[in-house]
Amino acid sequence: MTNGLVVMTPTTVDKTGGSSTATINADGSVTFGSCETLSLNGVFTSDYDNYMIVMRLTSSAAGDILFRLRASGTDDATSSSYVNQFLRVDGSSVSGFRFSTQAFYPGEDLVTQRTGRTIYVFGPYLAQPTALRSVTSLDRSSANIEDVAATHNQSTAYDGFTIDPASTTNTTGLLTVFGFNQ
Amino acid sequence: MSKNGLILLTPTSIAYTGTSATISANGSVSFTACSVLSLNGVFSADYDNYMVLWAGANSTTDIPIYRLRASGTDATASNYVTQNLSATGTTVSGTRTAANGYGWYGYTSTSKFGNTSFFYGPFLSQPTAVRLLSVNSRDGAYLHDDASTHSLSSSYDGFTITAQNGSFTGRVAVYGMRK
Repeated sequence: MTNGLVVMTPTTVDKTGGSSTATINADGSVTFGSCETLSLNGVFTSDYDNYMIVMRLTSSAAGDILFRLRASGTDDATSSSYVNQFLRVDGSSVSGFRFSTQAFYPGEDLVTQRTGRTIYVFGPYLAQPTALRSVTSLDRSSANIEDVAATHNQSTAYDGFTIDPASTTNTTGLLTVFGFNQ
Repeated sequence: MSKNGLILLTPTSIAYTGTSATISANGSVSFTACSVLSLNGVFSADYDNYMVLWAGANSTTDIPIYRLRASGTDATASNYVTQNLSATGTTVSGTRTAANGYGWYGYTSTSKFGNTSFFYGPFLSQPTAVRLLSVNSRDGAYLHDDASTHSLSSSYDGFTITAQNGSFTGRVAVYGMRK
């Protein structure tokens, strides 16, 4: 019987923020507090093509959170290399929008209640373009759906990623990276 | 006592139309330039619900289709209905297909696509539900989700993915959710 979903323990984590904390737990998850950026290194490998990232978090101010792929400790912030397609459902309002920029935007984070987010990452360690799909529940208007489909056009192998709350916001929560056995 | 909740399953056999398809040592299936790919013996009485990850690239953009399959034969009668939700730029739209002989199965594109799907109860002698989340590179980035039902109360041990246009290259893996 082959385990289908494997917890990927980061080789290291990096963080910024004056009072920030980030700890790799014994089970491979990462607990973080007051991080202006949080980077996980060594979570994508040649062992698996596809990954799932599950996170819960709150932020010090409402706003977007950015996600950049990362190789050997350096974020890929190539201009316009990430294309983000949003789907937002807010009450009876259903809307979509697309933009190209230097990061994947997996959805917003708000302050008062928890954001729950699952991100599927397809082929980040393959030297091919990467596809990303996020599914988010957040507390805008008490409850919102915010789903994003994104592509990254660089044919580079990435071993990690950074999450970066925009502006001076910092974020607190827990995330786990899983590899899909294949 | 903890148990593995998601089990990677190995097809008993595969069939394909295209250049190649191979079952890996652990059970996933890699394929090259296939227009039809069938996985047999992945659904069983051991699990009710399944997760399928299917990622790669197609030779063109396409809405592929799926059919449930039993003992090597696709279920082709008009018992599938699909509700689609798509978002491209500021256009968000939904469409439902009439009952026909297949269900929509995500979207494929020439750069990279990733489709995550869930099959609910395909081996049970009950109707089956399938839910799919897709990301692909059409128009830069394109969101395409499907919810489909199959109304027959039959037991299926596999499924077939068929390209309506082009041929796909990549990998598919089926996971059973322990019950």
